[in-house]
Amino acid sequence: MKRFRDTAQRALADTALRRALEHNTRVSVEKRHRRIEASPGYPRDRRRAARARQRLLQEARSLLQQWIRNARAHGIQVHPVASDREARETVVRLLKERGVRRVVKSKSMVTEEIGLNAALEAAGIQVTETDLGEWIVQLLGQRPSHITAPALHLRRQEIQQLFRERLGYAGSDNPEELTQFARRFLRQRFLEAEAGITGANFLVAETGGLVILENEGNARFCLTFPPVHVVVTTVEKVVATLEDLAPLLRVLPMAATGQDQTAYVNGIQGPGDGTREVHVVLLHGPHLEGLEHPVYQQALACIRCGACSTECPVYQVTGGHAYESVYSGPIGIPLSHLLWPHQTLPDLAYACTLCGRCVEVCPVEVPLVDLILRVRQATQARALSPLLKAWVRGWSLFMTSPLVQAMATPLLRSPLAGPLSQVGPFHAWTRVRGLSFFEDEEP
Amino acid sequence: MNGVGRFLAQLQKNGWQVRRLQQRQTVQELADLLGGQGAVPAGGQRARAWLQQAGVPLAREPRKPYAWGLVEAAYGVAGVGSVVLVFDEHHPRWVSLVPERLLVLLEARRVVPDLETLFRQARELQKAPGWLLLHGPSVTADIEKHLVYGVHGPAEVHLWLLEGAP
Repeated sequence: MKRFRDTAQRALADTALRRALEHNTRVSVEKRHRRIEASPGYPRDRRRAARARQRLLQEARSLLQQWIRNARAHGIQVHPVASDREARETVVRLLKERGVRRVVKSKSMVTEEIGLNAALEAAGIQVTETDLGEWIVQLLGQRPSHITAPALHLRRQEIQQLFRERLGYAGSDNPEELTQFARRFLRQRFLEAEAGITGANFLVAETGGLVILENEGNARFCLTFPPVHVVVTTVEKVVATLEDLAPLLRVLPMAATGQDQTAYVNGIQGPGDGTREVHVVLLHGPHLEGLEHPVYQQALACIRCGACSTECPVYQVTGGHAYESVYSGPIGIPLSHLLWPHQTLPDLAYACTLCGRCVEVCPVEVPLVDLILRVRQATQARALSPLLKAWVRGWSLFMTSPLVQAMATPLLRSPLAGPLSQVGPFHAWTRVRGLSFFEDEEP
Repeated sequence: MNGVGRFLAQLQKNGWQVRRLQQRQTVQELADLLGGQGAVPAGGQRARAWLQQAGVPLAREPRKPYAWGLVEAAYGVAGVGSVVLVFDEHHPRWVSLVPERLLVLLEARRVVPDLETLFRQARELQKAPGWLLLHGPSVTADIEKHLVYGVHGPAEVHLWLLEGAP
């Protein structure tokens, strides 16, 4: 069975990847810290944003009902779905019924979760990702390596080479030139598309509106030109009021990209311009269960800024693909275990040093280290054989009882200690430390 | 620094080019800036009327490229330095998205201190089919964290803050 230990080793051996990660995560971290330090109101906003998310966890069902009622009053067509499969089928059905053959799409982690692009392509619908980084990874046939920076693992020369081979690009590796090439290419796709698909960052219960944050303007094109706009989102995006939304609009971009606010915050409460219909495919199923789950509930307070990833010393050297999940970095550990318990790498909960940087930087105070420890407990409780469980109980007794340690010390100082250190779990322990580590301590 | 001063300073920090002018100068200033630039799309009845008075042809086709677009903003938010556009049949979304450069007109009396005040006061945000907090030019850092402006939307954003009587 594949393990994180193996995928991480592969990533560590890739020097080009290491160089890209070192540069891109360092720039992200420095920019974020600089802006947060220059924003005296940030700690207060962070507390208020965390409170707004806790309100969701306490009132999820009633807030959802309120949002659905108000959204429908605006003419938004809401389609609650219970599973990834139902979500895919609903989107495909909506598009097929309207004769849609070409779709433009803005970056959405929920559509990554449900594997929407593959389902659309299987149904004969052309999908073009339009966020620059997301389009690049789509052309490469990869998945995003970071929640908000999908091409974080790539250098400019790789992107230039990709555009040359796939699109006949003849320009340099200058980011401005590469971006202008993308602008011209994608503008045509926006104008030809019969449907636009986006996610949503927040659903505001008191208004029935959707809120989408972005910097490029691609989501704006998706919801302005095509006749049909389909939003694919999940229940944990709901916030109670516009007043609760305000601090979230400030802390999310600050944590994600070190901005006071994203270039565009779109409020959608119905169709406009060329768009005639707005549909929301609202995934509850595992997400609603997760909101009420004793272990994973707090993970769904996450607002998907990705700050925990770029701050994480493990992510900084392995990148996102080593997690082999839609969600990588610290938040990827509980989310992957919640959403795909049977497909998650079995040792993923150990892709963490418990350093706590992720907790310090999380804009909504998700207790990530506690969550990861609880995932470890839950997964180990399932995975351990009766013999190993007995061993763990014995080890626990040994480590917590001075009396037992005193009784065992003569054995650990005896010639038997050498061979003993090579046996079973002792070997894993003694590979990097002594068996009788307490010998050096003061008596 | 008062609310308007803070608003303009914040906007400049976000990459806006800002000017303060008397409302009665608007038509002349529009003629000076946009005359000879070809047709210009406009959002808002007053903006369209001013363009007409300035002798600038009005563009109506959303699928063509334009050098400039002109919109009236409903509010300015001083705290984060954003401009609020509220969309309806007179204020289409595409006008602020398609052109290379965007000029936003805002009355100085419509600047509010922060998002909380905006959401409390601007009840029309709850009813309109769409609204936008416009914070700066279209931007990406997807290639090696290098900032590039004008990815899909306008690469330049300009604000004229209108003071005094029309």
